[in-house]
Amino acid sequence: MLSEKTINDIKLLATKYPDKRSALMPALHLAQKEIGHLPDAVLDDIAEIIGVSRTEASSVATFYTMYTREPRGTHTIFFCNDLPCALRGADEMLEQLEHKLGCKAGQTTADGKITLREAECLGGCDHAPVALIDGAEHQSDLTLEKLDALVARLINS
Amino acid sequence: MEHLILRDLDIENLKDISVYEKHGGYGAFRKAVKELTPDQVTDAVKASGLRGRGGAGFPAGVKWSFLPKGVFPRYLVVNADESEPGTFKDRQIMERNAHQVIEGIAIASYAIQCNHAFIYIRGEFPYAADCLERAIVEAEQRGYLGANIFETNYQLQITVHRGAGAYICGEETALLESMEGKLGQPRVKPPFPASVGLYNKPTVINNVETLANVPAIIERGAEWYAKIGTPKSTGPKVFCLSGHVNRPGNYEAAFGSISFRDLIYDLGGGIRGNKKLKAILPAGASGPMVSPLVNPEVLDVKLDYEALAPFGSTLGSASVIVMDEDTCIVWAAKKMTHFFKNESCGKCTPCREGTYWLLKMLERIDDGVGTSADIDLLTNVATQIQGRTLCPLGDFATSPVMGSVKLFRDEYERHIQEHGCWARGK
Ligand SMILES: Cc1cc2nc3c(=O)[nH]c(=O)nc-3n(C[C@H](O)[C@H](O)[C@H](O)COP(=O)(O)O)c2cc1C
Ligand code: SF4
Repeated sequence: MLSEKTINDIKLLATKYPDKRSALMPALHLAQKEIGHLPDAVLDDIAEIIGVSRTEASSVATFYTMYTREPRGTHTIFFCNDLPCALRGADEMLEQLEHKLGCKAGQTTADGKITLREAECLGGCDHAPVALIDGAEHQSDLTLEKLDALVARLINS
Repeated sequence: MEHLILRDLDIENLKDISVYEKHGGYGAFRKAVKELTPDQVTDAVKASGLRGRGGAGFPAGVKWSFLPKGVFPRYLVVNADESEPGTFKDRQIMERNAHQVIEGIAIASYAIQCNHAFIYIRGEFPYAADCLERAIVEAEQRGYLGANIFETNYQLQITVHRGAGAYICGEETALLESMEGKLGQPRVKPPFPASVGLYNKPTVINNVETLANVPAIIERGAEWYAKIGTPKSTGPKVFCLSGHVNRPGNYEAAFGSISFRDLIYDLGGGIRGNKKLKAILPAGASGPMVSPLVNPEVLDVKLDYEALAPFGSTLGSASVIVMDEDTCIVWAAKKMTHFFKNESCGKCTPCREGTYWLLKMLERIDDGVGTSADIDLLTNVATQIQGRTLCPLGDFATSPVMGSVKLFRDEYERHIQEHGCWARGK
């Protein structure tokens, strides 16, 4: 399932550490970037290159919140509602976002475009409320207008 | 005042290597490698009094000197996991002053004779990780990293390693497990990482901000550095200010030079909407709250590592979360307990089960179906977690409950009598 390029990148990663097992997490990041999630077949490929069992690869893929074993929507919004964000209105905003998307936190919109997840503190409390989009892009000082624009952009991309 | 850590506020484009060099950048590393022995560097850091900024305040130079003699390879692992609610200082330092972090890592690596250092950065900081990687490439191009650094035999490689979402990986032994491609679950100590660390080799783990202090110590001298701050807490500290203030942000100040009043009302521009201050969390979710309503004098103590002990709290990594008079304390305790319940790694029963029950009880009280026995039950369960867990997260997880019940027991009682929150707090 993984492209040859990703397989080669993972093999290269494995040479970069004193113990190749350290390449497991970076490999999972690469694979998820390509496939979108981490199904068994992908874990098998990675496990073989890194030299761990599928069970080990799978437990690591399950332990860390940024990995997903199940397919997600085209985009994922990790929305922080820990205390510093909640003190600046995150709970109400999350409710509105759920309403707008027509799905609860932890679910994906009916059209499969957006998965909404609650996040733990994203380290941007000076610009709360904060969300992380697709594990790559921080959105801060969120307002309802900004969320509207964000959702519109994600739906159209 | 001149910034020593948040120098990006004084110098534009400091993150570019040419700008960093123009302001003395990599001069301290050159001085260390060319003029000082590794032990002399360690001694200077010891003499500076620099204490770890990751929360525990352990003296950095002392930690470096713990490595067993003659055992190689040895590793430096930089803790850039920054996940404590209310903490966002390391991120700013990495994004805007990455070269100072890299130079600090390089000097520390030289001091402990490490040839391969790792930066473990939380996966949710992709931009900060990119900034570090860019800085490393630039430093390699200039010959500050790689082989034969400054025409000596010293060589150093730095690798950025991205986590994938788990607060517990900030705990140093869980971080090592994660670096090794395993579940982020703390190890039993002893053995300590100094002797059995990454890949079972001697390892030093330091926080990003700790290491960012090192270049100035080498460049200007331990004696100069030790004069900043208080005798026991030397140097500058970055305070993260968040919550109900007008100007949240990172503020750098010498230890012992500012109080909560200075931080919140002067630097932070006061409480939003001119409301009254109700409570302060000095150390994010991990340390007990303090309140000027209960202890008015807490607003005026000058902050250093020891200052909050008389109030039953700690400075931790100085992630100061401010709550105004409208904040429901039961709700706040519930929020923080929810965090710890989610982030318990599950390895020990008191932490895994205890956080679950603490949350259940807080939800019950907040939902208006708690009974008066619940308050004592809460503190009882918290007491049973304390001291009975493998890593400090168990103790941290009891702070929200213990701190809030101690200061605001009446508010819990009112929730029970009036079947819920009378003024749904925010
Ligand atoms: C649950 C838990 C979370 C922690 N999170 C962090 C963190 O995010 N960053 C950090 O530097 N230290 C964190 N620490 C402290 C580290 O274990 C360790 O003491 C620190 O990285 C040592 O560096 P320092 O001496 O330079 O402070 C955490 C500790 C615990 C118990
Ligand atoms: S105290 Fe909690 S987080 Fe720490 S090892 Fe035990 S279960 Fe894991």
